[in-house]
Amino acid sequence: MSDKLDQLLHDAAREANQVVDFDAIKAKVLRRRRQRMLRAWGASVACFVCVATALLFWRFGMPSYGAQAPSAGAGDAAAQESESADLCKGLMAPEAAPAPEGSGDVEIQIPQANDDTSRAESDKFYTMSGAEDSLRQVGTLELSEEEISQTLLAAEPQLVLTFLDSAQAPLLPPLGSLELVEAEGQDPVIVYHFKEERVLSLTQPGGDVAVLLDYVYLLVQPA
Amino acid sequence: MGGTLYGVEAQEALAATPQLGGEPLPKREFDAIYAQHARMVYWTAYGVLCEDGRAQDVAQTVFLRVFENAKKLESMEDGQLRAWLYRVAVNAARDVLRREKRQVPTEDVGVNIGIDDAELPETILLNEQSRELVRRCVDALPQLHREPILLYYFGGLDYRQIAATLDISEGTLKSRMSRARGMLCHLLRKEGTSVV
Repeated sequence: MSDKLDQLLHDAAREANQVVDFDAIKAKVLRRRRQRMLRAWGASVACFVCVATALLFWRFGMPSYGAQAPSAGAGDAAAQESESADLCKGLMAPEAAPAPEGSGDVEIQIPQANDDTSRAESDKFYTMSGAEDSLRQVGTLELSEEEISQTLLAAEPQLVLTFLDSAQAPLLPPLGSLELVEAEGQDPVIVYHFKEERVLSLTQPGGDVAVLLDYVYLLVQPA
Repeated sequence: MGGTLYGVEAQEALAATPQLGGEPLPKREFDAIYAQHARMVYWTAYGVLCEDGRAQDVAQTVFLRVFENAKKLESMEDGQLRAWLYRVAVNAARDVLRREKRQVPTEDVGVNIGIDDAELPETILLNEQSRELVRRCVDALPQLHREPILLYYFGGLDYRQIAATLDISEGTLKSRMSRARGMLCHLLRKEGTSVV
């Protein structure tokens, strides 16, 4: 009996092992393994991208229309702003100073980002809102000091141009920022920051903001 | 076992401490582990679940764990590895049962079935039908007795390996095997008349 049962069991086992596709199981294991590795790799890459993106934002701030200026913890960007403010310290009026009557809104009229008719142009303009509401980034100005002088003075001889801190640094600023300074009893002054390297101030005795802005747009608008 | 093991030559493996079976295999590549233990793992899972599909799923899970624990397994001897695979397979199969809240369909085989040396019905033929009947009878055994039968006949392990894997003495194993055979004889006699 025992031999016969043994034989039966061995036969049944042999057949059962032939029926079970162990190669297919192994292939599935290897496939699942690959999938897991890919998922793990993908997660790692996604994690790296997230961290890198977060670091970039932390380092350079968020470039966007109407976005907050880089925060105090935003590294060099904040430091640059601070230095820039120092350079034009003498020209800046207190922020709380009331605007002179008749001068209208101190908001600089720049093209809106969602203005379809001037989309290409609007891309050149940035607003840096926030605590320093009068601080505007107007666009790229790739003109030499001399060219600026010629352009503006040709347009309006009465314009007073002052180049501050005209050091040896080449005048090829990637972006300038525009600040309108208005104080009661004083002529409005537009200060153009070339990062922290140079400062150009525009003023016109008895002139108003709109006229000054036109001069600035002369510089920044494409020919 | 020849070939490279995780890039290490088998010769290096031979330098390891001999394991239970005297086969020093401290490092293995997956293919070698799979070739050696796939049947045991599958039939262990089958012994708990009594179903081919789920047993295959469990076998996949077990061998994925092999990848996950490759470093740990490298230092294991063959017997330790077999026991580890067995435990993982049993636990994984029980997890499946717990998840599905499924009862293993087992017939109530009387505990007082003795080993009967009587002849099996002559009508039982060594054909496909009879082999299927044997499979069903094995499935109907209590797990305590089904397990050694599956590991011995289906998994291809010998008594010493099974005893080490189940962590029981060879005497206990032989006793269980003997009892399991007796139960199988009983079940086959009961079913035998229908198999022609």
